Amino acid sequence: MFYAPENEIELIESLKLADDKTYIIAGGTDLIIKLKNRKIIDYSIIDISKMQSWNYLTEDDDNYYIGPLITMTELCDNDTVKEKLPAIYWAAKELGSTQIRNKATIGGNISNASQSADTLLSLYAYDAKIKIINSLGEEKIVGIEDFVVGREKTILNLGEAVKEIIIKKKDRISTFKKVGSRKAVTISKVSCAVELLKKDELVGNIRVFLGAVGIKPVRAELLEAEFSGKKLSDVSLDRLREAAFNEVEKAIPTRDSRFYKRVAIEGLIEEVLGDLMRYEKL
Amino acid sequence: MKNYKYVGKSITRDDSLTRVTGEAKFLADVKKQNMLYGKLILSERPHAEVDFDFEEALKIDGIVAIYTYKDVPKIAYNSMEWFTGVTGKRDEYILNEKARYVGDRIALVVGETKEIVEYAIKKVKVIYTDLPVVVGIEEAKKDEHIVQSETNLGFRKYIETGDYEKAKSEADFVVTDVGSTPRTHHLAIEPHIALGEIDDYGNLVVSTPCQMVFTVQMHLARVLEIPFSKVRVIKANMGGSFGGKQQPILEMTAGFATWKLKRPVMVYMDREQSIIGTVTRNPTKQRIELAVKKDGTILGRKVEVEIDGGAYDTNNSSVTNALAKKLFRLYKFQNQKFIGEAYFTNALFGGAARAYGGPQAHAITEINISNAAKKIGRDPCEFRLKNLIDPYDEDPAGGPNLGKAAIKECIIEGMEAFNWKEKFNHIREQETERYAYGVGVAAVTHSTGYWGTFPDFTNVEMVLSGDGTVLAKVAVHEQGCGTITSLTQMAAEALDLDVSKINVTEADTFITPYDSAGTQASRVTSVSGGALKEAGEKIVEKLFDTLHRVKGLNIEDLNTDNGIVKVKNSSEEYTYGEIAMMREKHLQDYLSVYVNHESTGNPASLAACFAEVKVDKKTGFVEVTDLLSVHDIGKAINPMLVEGQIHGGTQFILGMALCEEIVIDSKGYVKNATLSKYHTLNVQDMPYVRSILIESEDELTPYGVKSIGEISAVAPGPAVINAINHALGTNITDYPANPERIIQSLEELKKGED
Repeated sequence: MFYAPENEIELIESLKLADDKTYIIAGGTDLIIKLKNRKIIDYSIIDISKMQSWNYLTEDDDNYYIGPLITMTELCDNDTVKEKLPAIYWAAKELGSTQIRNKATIGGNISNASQSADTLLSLYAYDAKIKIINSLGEEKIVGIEDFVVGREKTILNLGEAVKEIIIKKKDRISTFKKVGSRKAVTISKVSCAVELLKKDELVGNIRVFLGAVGIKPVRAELLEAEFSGKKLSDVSLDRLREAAFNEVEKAIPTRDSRFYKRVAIEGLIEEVLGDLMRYEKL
Repeated sequence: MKNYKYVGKSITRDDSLTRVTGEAKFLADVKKQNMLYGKLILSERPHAEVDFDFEEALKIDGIVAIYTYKDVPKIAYNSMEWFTGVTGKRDEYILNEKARYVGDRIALVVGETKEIVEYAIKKVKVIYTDLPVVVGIEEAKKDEHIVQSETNLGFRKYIETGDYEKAKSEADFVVTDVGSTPRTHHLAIEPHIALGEIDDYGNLVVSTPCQMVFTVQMHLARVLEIPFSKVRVIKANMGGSFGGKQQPILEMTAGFATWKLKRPVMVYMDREQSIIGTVTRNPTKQRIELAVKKDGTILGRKVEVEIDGGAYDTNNSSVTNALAKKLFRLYKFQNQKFIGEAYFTNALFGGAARAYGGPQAHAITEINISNAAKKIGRDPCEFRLKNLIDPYDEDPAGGPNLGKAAIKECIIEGMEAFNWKEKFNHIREQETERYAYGVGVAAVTHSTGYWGTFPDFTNVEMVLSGDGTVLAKVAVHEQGCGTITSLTQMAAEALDLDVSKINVTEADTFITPYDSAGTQASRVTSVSGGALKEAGEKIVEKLFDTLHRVKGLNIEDLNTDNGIVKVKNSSEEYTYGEIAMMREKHLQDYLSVYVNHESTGNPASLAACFAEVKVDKKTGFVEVTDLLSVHDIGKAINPMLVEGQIHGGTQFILGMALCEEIVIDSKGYVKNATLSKYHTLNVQDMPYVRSILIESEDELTPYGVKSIGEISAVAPGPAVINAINHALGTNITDYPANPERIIQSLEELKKGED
């Protein structure tokens, strides 16, 4: 079956009909490949790409609200994202190719929950909340860390879809950086998203997450400790690199890919620090 | 230098705009009445007996047939054979009985639409019974499990010129390097495809974006047991080949299904199939010894190469030979020992790949030359200059004379334009904690055709019509290089007729006369161009002859001028068209010629490349910050197209140097059969490619040309690796130098220092 709801009421009707062979498609940049690779041929599709009301980015005094259908290109073109949510900006900007960024949506990126998903990692750093709608029209909100439960696996049940992403407004400094296997059009081999809040000129609360070093984003406490309570300009790059190296050793102690990733992350963390210092001055 | 009207001009090819806008039609766009689609089922296992359950698939409405080994002729072939005079081990079938690699063609599904075929393929159940797998050369050598028959050693070649062991004993240093090159994919934008049909007269017609219509004809006729004369092969508009479409693959399945079903059948592949199910550049493992004197004289070299030939014989012999040949045609030293061995493994087999054996032949040897220079404390350019060949040197292995070789000029001019001395001596001073900088150089050679080794001739029928336009029927396969344009320019020069009035055909076995070796071996500009030049000159002779016989004019008084014959000291003149009509009317002859043109020479094409890199010591990323290729092109027929080849060739070989590799795991499975995982250099990763053309104008070839299409895809590889090693102080000899390998080499270097 093929459903193409154009609004939320029609979507709920489609979700009612969903079975375990039903897939929700938005940009399709992950799903089409998944269907092909897994040789899935008997399936139903709910195509939500016509739901224009789900493509937005708004804000009130407390939060930013992001519609799941906003594409990577649209995120990059959005001044709020660029200025206030740079971790999402950089993740979206370096994701895939131009063609993919034109189609891929943030809702799809997090629902697919690949271990290399870039915007997902930034949402971890921002401690985002995910609003989920089900086939009865009921809504619930879960934290991003509860949303992803395993390798390409989310909390979403049959007949459920991501309706909105909510990010709390904070006076934050943040960024996202990744290392792939070439300059562009590349999947992250290791990635890092950071959000920090300043307290009396010093780094207060900090959330550092690493991507592609486990089945889901990994919180990097060793790195956080190197930032905590210091002025950014006093953070030791050498110690940061050492911590980064150890984070990879800790996250993937047996995988062969650690030999590369633990060095690459030393370079990555240097760029992360550079970014943070740049954003601090803005 | 001669003053030419058409040769040496950067004329834009006719089809460039439609190719860019997407208007150009390719075979995949063709639809024939009653046409079926066919797609192969490729093995998912590296070595297995296969059985099938087609029940579900055959129930699907619109599925016409599913073929396996049981249905195809039991006539084996070797797709490397390009004419009846070469014979390899014939071990391939249209569909194979066993699966010998991930990607082996084991079944063909034919149906009314692509959708139906794709759907049915997913419904086919393949029952595999796994067999022991031979992965890599080391395992193959053990001969514990045999991929084909008797032994895994597929081919062995030994060449020795002079006396290497004596040279070694006289050397001050012997510099040894051990390295490897990867299995790479050609990555033509158009995946493989072929269309079979039966024409109104019962001939089998196969249209294909191929490189050799007569080769395809030969295999189809032999395997399907149809007379040669009933097999028509038409070269279709092509979206790139780079050797990947040189050997027949889908032509055989399309021809077979068409002949069987008596309906047009288009067999197509998707990207993944073209990566795992066609041919690849053979991976190699190599060991090089270079015997050098302190004064910088190279005394001799030993080159041992082991080639992973994959699961079928195909090019085991030809790639080994092609690789070997190049080693004797670049430096002056006479003492050289070559030992090449190609092994069967349970992997995708080798095939033609741009510069056939050249990237492998130069990959490690050119690193080794730079290492030797370092060892004796010489500049690597100066060291090369001391040892490179001079004009008219002989090939010690007995190949054709090297011709007017200008490789030393390439190095000298390149050093100047690249600011080599300054960069080589000082660029490392820019090093920071994060980034290292270095420069590298490499020199390479390639043939200009087959002459001296294999039959190298082509036939042309050239016809001048009453309207003054010329049709040149010649079996050329435009692969995207702009060959047709440059050949038209060569014909135009000989005819003294504007290029717009000349139509040079592409190959069609029913239309174009025979050509001995197809569009391969960097032979076309020289051989087909020579044929067109000769034909054009003969047409002009016939023009003069006509005027002499009909109008009584003296041949010595006649001159051509852009499509007109002018008479000396007279206002009398005739257009080519008028003369053609005159000939038909009065002389019982149409103004045409038929020429069998044999190649006139096979001079070494030569090139040097200079590269500058910036290496990120943390992420292992290499940025090529400057790249200059200097080619002894002989004569650039169309400098813009030559430059295009150099740019494309650079992208091609930098992929092998920095990122491209079809990875096969220890169990024989392909790890990166899609472009999201098989990475080539994108435009963002490419340096600005500079080029200098040295026009040495060889005396033996038409207008002095030498080859460019293949040799452009060789030197930037080792030049960049040498630059990386210069920057880091490493000795990376395994390709590709991807980020992981760079980090690993740096760590090993650090360990060594501790």
